[in-house]
Amino acid sequence: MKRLFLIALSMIVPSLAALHAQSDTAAFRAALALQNPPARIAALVAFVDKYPESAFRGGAYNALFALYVQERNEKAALEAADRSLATLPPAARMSPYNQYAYMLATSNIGLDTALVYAARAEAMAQGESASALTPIQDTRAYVLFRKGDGAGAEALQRLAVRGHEDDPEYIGHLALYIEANGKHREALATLARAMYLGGGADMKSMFDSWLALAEKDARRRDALRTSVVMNTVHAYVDTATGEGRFAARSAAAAFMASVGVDLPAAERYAAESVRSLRKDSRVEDAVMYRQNLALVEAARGKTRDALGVLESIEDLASPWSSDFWLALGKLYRKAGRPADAVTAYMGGLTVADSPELRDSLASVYTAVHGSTEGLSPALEKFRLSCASFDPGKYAPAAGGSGKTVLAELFTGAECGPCVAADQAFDALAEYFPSSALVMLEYHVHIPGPDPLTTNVSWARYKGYGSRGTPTVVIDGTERITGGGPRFVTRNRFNLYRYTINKYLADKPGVTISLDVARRRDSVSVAARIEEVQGAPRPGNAVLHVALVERSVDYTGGNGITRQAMVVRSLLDGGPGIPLTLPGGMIRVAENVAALDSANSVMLDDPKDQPSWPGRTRNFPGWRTRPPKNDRSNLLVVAWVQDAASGDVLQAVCRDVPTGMSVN
Amino acid sequence: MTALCAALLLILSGGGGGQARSAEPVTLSVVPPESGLRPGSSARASVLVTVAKGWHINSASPVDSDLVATALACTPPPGLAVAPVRFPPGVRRTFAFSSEPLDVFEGTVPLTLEISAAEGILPGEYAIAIEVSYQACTNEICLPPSTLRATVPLRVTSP
Repeated sequence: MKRLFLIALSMIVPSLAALHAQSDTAAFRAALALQNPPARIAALVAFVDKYPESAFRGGAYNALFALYVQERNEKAALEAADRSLATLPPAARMSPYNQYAYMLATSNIGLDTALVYAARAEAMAQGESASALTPIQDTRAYVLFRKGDGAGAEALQRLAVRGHEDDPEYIGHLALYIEANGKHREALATLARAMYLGGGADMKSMFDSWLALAEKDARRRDALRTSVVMNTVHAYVDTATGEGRFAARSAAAAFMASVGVDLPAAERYAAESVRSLRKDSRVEDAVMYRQNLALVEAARGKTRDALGVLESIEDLASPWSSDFWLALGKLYRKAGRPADAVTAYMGGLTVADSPELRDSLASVYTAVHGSTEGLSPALEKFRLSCASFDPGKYAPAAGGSGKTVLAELFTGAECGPCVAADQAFDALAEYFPSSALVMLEYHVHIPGPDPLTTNVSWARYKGYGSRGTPTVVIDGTERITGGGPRFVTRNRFNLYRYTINKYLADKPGVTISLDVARRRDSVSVAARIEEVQGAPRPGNAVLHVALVERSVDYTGGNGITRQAMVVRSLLDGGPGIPLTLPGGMIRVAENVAALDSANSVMLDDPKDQPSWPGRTRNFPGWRTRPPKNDRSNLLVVAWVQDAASGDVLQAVCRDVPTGMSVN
Repeated sequence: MTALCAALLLILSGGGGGQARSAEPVTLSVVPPESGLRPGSSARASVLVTVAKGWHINSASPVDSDLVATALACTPPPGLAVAPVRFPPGVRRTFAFSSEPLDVFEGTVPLTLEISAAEGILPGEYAIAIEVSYQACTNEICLPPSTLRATVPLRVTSP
């Protein structure tokens, strides 16, 4: 009986422990999920009472601290901070000390304790890297300032900004402390640096108010403004080198426009930057330089010119860039085009959220429609139009170059931000004929397992030095990283189309004649490559040949149900087949049944493949196994690439004849 | 000065003394036990997983098994043992690209290692190898699953 009892107990005790573990997790999660602050406080207090040994006790006190600070309940906040800290070994308290000090100072409560916490964090950070010390000194300087010790704050912030001279946030903080110490001109110069470096729009009003403090006389104030701004501009523009010169000029132009100083010079700087743009300039620079030119034009009162510039890049401007859409909306209002302003503000609210954009939209919508009634459905309709739209049809230039551009997309069926890129590629397929654009979509296991991944896809992803998914590479050289939800699809389509159009103007470096035949499961490809007379001969040309499935029905975690232009294999093996120019014939073949078998092996044990990143993690199994290669839906894409520079010289695609299928 | 303070709050509320910024989306720091460990006793070490602003990693129990859970693996030398590490619950967040909320970690995730020394362990310097595996995304990009490695140094003293 006793033995039986012990056996039963040994079975129950671990179960009880497990039950406790589950229940405290659930209770903590439930407490954190409460939206109402008093209810959350009550739930967290009940949690720490009920589970005094829980591993989440520190987290509960941490959450309580934040809530009490929000309520400005100093006593309770400090008690919660103490209890939270007590759950950590002393050596692990640096980050919480810093965070608590900052939060207390922000709410202007418990400043003595905040200073103690900040000093402890700083002492602990002394042995760490400079990058760990800086934000902590930044916090302690802030606490000192809040306690009225401006001199101490300034001295400490000067230490903090060392090595961070290009950080507008830290420089801006230093400017504030200098100003608080009555050194108006130095503060202005420091703030000007922060503004040049891209500090927030709030700095502009601060700059004006400090100018008024520094100089009462209006004429001398203007002279001071000009002197401070131009000294800052020259400090950056005159020392910039290489491509950085144009970035510096563009930034200077935006800064000068924001403070209204020497606008003709600002216009020259901005225009020079725009003129410096070349085919291989990053599209982000092309947008930024033009946006800054528009800011200058607007500051000069050239509303129509400014609008023209912004409208020329509206298709390319990031939906995440609130500044762009605010500027465009304001200009439309100024130009007496409120309906267009509505569209511009909606453009900024497609995926991002900004109170200023929302207020501006409500205001101009009311001006157009008399009230905000109908605004929400109108915004939703606009967002949907960014996800689903008619891409139109490509109109080739007369006497076109004959170039076919290659666009390669690295994507993942589990990748949420890949949705916009995937759908933009679908739109590209509608827009461009295959004589102008050939597309490939390589699947990789990012962020989760994707059964359409192949080892050659992963090798090509790595070969391009890609940072993540989605990544698009146009003609082997221009890389566009990042995507977003479906509402970003139109922006990605525009961005890719803009880049593809640049490369369509190139002359092809070679011609490729492609013959594709199929006998049962064997696909054979004969590619005749010939050099184009007068084209520069690449140093290291290779031929790539991909077997592609036009569409595969597979639904991943990101909700895309039909995967397009899936690269199933590279018939050249991956690195490409070296070419001897001026030309010749190359033959390659693939057996689709053998490919199916190889895929099946890979699907059975993906962790054993080179394409499996972070090769130790668990494999949860596939959502579903994708279908085998559909013999009636295959095509071959061939392209010649300079293995040294990455340039794609020409690309071509052909359907694999369906014929009589014998699987 | 009042106007200055108002403006100051506007600027400083943008971040200020927040977390250290880093080019890498996830960084790891280790805090070894405060003092030496005697045979037959136990001690705590901390591992701080810091996720950069704008990034998130899946929690230890993501909503979907296809998402890569954040995990910590320890390899203690003979004579030392580490209890299974309990991760805090993640935060439920809905991102621009997800219709359903995801269970993620953001900011700093403190983890505690409960280390125990066997009775017969010899005094000396030891190191426990740890690996934190995770997978990071922003609203615009996802990175491949990755692993950060570190060691927890500790000293075993005489009984």
